[in-house]
Formats: sequence, C-alpha cells, structure tokens
Amino acid sequence: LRASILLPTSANPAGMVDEIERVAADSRFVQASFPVRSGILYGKRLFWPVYEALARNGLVAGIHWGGSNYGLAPTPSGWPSRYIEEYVAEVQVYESQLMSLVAEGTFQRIPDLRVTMMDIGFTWVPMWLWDMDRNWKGMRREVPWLTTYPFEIVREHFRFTVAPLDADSRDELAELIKWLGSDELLLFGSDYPHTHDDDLSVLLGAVSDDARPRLMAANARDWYRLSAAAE
Amino acid sequence: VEGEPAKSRADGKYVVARARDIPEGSRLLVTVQGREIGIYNIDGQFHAVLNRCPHRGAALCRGDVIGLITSTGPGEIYLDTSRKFIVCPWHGWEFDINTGKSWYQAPDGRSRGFRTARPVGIEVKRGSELTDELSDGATEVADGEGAVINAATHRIEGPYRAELYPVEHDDEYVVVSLRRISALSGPPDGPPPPTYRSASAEA
Repeated sequence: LRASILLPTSANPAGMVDEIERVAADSRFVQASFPVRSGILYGKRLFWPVYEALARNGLVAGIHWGGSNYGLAPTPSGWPSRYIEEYVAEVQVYESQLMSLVAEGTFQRIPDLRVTMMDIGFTWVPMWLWDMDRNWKGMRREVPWLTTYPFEIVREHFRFTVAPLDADSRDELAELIKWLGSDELLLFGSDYPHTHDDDLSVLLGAVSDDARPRLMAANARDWYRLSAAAE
Repeated sequence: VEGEPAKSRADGKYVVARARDIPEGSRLLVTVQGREIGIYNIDGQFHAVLNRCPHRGAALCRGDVIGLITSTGPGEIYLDTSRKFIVCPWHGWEFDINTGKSWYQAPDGRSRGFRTARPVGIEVKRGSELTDELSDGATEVADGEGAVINAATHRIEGPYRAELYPVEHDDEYVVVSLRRISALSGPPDGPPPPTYRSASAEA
C-alpha cells in the first residue's frame, strides 16, 4: 500500500515544502496530493519550490478532484445548482491546471517533476492538447521557453487515472487512446472508496493484450518507481 | 489619371513611392501589376514583401514586425532587434524580413514548414535617375499609409502623382522590381515561381 502526502493549503507553499520534507523519508509516500481547485493556478512560480521538493524526493504531484478551503467553484462563473453540473464541470479546472503547468515552463525549470491527474478520466486530454499544440505554433513567442509541442511535454510529465470512464464504447475508447499517442499514459484508478460505476471491461477491451497488464499495474509501477523487489 | 495604364520601366521595375514618405518603422501598401506589395522601412533599410501569407493567404503585411525572441528558461525572454520578422495576423507565422523565409519549424518534424513569403526586389533610386519616366507619366508616386498605386486600374489613392509634383532631383524614390529575388525561390515541391512578361513583350 502506498500513499499521498496531504499538504497544507495552496495559500501556504512554504508549509507545503516543509510537510514534504518532514515525511518524504518514509518510502510509503510516493505522491503529494493537490486539490484541483487551488485558487492560484499550479503553474505559477510560487509553487515551484514545492515541485522542487517533490522532485528532490522522487515524489509525484497528484492532482485530485476537489477544492481547497477557499470555497472555490468548479466553474469560472461560480457555483452551479446541482451536483451533476459540478461533476461535469470539474474537468475544466484540470484542463486549466494542466495548461498552466505546461505554459509557465514548470517542466523546463523542474525537468524531473511528474504529475498524475486523478479522478477525471482521460477522454478530454487529446482535444485539449490539440488546441494547445495548434495555438502554441502561432503564439509560442509568448512562451519561448517551450521548445516543443505541449502535447509532447504532457506525454513526458503527466499520467492519467482511468476513472471515471466517460465513454462506454470500446471502439470510441480505442480511438481516444490512439489520439493520446500512448496507452502508457493511463494508470488504473478506481477512486476507491468512491465509485463511478465504470465498466472496466470496456476499457480493457479497447487496448491491446500487451497494454492490459501495463494499464492495470506496470504503468503505475514505473511511474511511481515501485520496484518489484520493494513489493 | 485617365488614359494609358502605367508602364513598367524597361527593366521591369516600378517606382512606388518617395523614400521620404516611408519613414523608418513604417510600411506602405502598393499595388503593382495587380499584386499588392508591402514596402517596409526597417532601420533605414527598405524591404518589399508580397502581401500574401504563403500559409493560408492572409494579408501578411497587415501583421506586426517584431524582433527575434529567444529564451533560456521560464520567464526569461530576450529580444534581438537586429533580426526582424513579419508576423502574419491570422496564425502568427513569422517570416524573416530579409529572406522571406518562415523562421519556425516544429522541432519534431511533425509540422511541415511553410513556404517562403515572397520577397520582392527593391532599391532606392535618386530622382535624377528617374526624371524621364516621372515626367512622362509612365511612373507614379504614392504617399502615406494606405496609399496605393494600382497599375492595373491606373487609379491612385493619395495626392501624389507625377504630373502634379515636379520631380526634385534631390528626392529619392523607392523602386520595386516584380522579379523575385532568385536565391529565394520557393521549395522544390512548391509551385514554380510566376513569370512576368517583360515590358517589351507587353508593348
């Protein structure tokens, strides 16, 4: 069993660093948890010391559904009325965090930083990054430190847990995974004890025989550097 | 002007403006033989570029002129003003003002490079070298932002015409040649460069 470090709120980056350093020596921690609704986009450089602490200790930044104690809404236009709206809207916060982490040059400054996007699925990733790639070509002089496509940066520095599984068609999922460019970006995740009622067999049917064990175990084992011996 | 269409000079070159009317840092759009051409004065050097982006055909010369931007890391931006690029207003493609070449190519080769923007031969001539053409109405001079010589319709925006403004031998004129700069032809897989009839062939 491995765990995430629970950090102080994003209002206190120095406290986040302190907490990472306090507990990182315990190898059962492989990740630090970041609520996706942070109030300040995670690419901003006030968080860079936090990521440097993670990279220094070989830990992953795990961005998870939910908000900090600022009472931040899941939409830029405030709170929706119903849970269904919040549930569906949340992805745009992940998109914004991913965009910020890439555009600000976080991975140029901290090349060893790894980020896992949890509890938001992955079907949104290709389209969002097509848009970023296309606009990077035209507007890259705003971010001249990015020397390659945002999608390339994401493939290197991000992983995505598969729940919730938005699509329920094997063929559609296979197409989406093709657009991702690699099934190695996907980590099995159930959001336990929460449940999304996903039919995992649809996803497993959408990937090759080789990819199935990777998706269920090896991808995460590699990403979190869990050697077989440690198990 | 009513009457004969503007003639090219015998060497296929066109006088498009007084040099002093395109001050440093400004740009003039002219039309020569139906082709819209942006005339730039950048750091005292004149440049002429076809007003058509080779990517999707936007009016390239409506874009900004910027220096070369480089970076050594996040938040660190360096501007080299000694190299200038025209930035297409549609998709931000940048073209070196000296060569017309698109400066950018994606590092992984996933994106095709774009074709070279078309540079146009340009030189500054002293009025004394052009007296004959200016005085017989064969060549016209336009002035100011947006002023256009339209050789096809023979209509000129702006106040300057050769007949109304006597030639001052001390003036300098900007002369454009429709011949492409030979060393800067398009890529091997691109269309062949257009050919222009010489003045003698038109006559």
